[in-house]
Amino acid sequence: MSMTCQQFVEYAADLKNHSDLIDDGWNLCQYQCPMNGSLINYLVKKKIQKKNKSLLKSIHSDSLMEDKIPIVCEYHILYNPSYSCPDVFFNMWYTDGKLLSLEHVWSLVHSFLKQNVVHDKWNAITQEMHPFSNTPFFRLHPCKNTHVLKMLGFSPKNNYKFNPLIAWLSTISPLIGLEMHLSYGNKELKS
Amino acid sequence: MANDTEILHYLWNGKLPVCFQLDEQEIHGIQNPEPFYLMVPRMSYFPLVCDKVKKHFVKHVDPEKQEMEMWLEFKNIPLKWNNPIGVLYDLFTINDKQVDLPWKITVHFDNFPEDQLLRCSCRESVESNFMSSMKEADMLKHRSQVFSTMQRHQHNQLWTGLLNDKFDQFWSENKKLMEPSEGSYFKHIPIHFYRSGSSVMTQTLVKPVSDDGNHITLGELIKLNYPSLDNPKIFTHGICIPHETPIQWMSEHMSYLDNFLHLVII
Repeated sequence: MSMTCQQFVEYAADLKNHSDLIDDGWNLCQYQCPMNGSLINYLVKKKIQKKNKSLLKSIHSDSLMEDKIPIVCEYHILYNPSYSCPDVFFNMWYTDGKLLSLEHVWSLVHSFLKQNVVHDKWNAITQEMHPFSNTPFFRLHPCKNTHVLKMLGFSPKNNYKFNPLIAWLSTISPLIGLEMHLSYGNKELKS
Repeated sequence: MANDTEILHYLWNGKLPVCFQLDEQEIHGIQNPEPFYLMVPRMSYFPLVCDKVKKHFVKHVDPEKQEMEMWLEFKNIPLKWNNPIGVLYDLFTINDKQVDLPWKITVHFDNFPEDQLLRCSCRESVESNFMSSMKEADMLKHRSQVFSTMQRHQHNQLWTGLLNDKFDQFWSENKKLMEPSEGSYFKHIPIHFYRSGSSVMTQTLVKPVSDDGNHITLGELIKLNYPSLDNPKIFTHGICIPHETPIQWMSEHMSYLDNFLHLVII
């Protein structure tokens, strides 16, 4: 089930290429390891998404008429060397800069998965320190990622027509409130 | 498996005297609260030992702010509760000079620095953070084969052992996590590295044994990961560790309860 770091970098570059084609906003960033100076690649996307106000029970809205409010979302997809799998960190803020609470992040999970998450929420999504910035981010627990890769039948030796990173991300996207364009599903892996 | 139980007991019992003081700006009313003194276990986490501290100070802050989450700070640096207390203290060791004891920590209720600290609204956040570290450590040591086969009540033993400061309860389960699965080594050694004076943590895959089959020592590991440092001192649990110490031995005996070694490089 494990994905090598090199595979991750290839799949991330492929995802970024498709994102560029449809102007979806994913960027490849580099982090320099403070220990040995090596460069680590990861994907970042920042986007304002409209979220259902009733789920946020929020006072952070001027217009009482609207049932959706804008939420600033930032997603990071990293490689996790401990679990040998992709790892997703994200933050969500109101437009006044205040961070959403963990309870609100749980309530934004897509309705068809919400039961599972609520049942085991402290093992699903929690707040943790981002390994690069050392600042708080929400995170889907990495053992869920290895589980998803396993369900998708991922093996590092197989050759894929599809990009396993995209398959993984589209599987977990309803958990983290990430909207993904359907065209990601039509493309074949170029390599 | 960890054989030198004397060392395990010694580290488990490591404590720091702390003097908590409410931030002057947050004192509400004319009476200044007395400082609050407490001996805290190095191995524990601040939210698990601070109930009394909160109770002592909360009546001295603005009633409108009493419901806010308490947080701690030293020298204007917010203390990350997700790190063990001993690590937080050792991070302020500069040029061999440890912070004077009792450790004078400032207590806040207002202006929670949400861009620097994790929220800690309840015990579950600490438990989830702690258990997830243990799980990751086991992934590194045994490809997750020990932790994931343990029963829920065994996981609870680990957590309640920490919570209630019960060495035997904790180690009755933890010893299983400390047994090398292949030969006499773990697959990887779970280590968090810090530079003193900064709270930035870095992590990398660390093997306990070299390609030619020799155990790797602390000195060799540091030379590999910090090639530019000239003979740095390595602290953990407030102790300067000799460079010839094998890291496999350190992992079995000197890890914090989350099963990670937390090394402060000075």
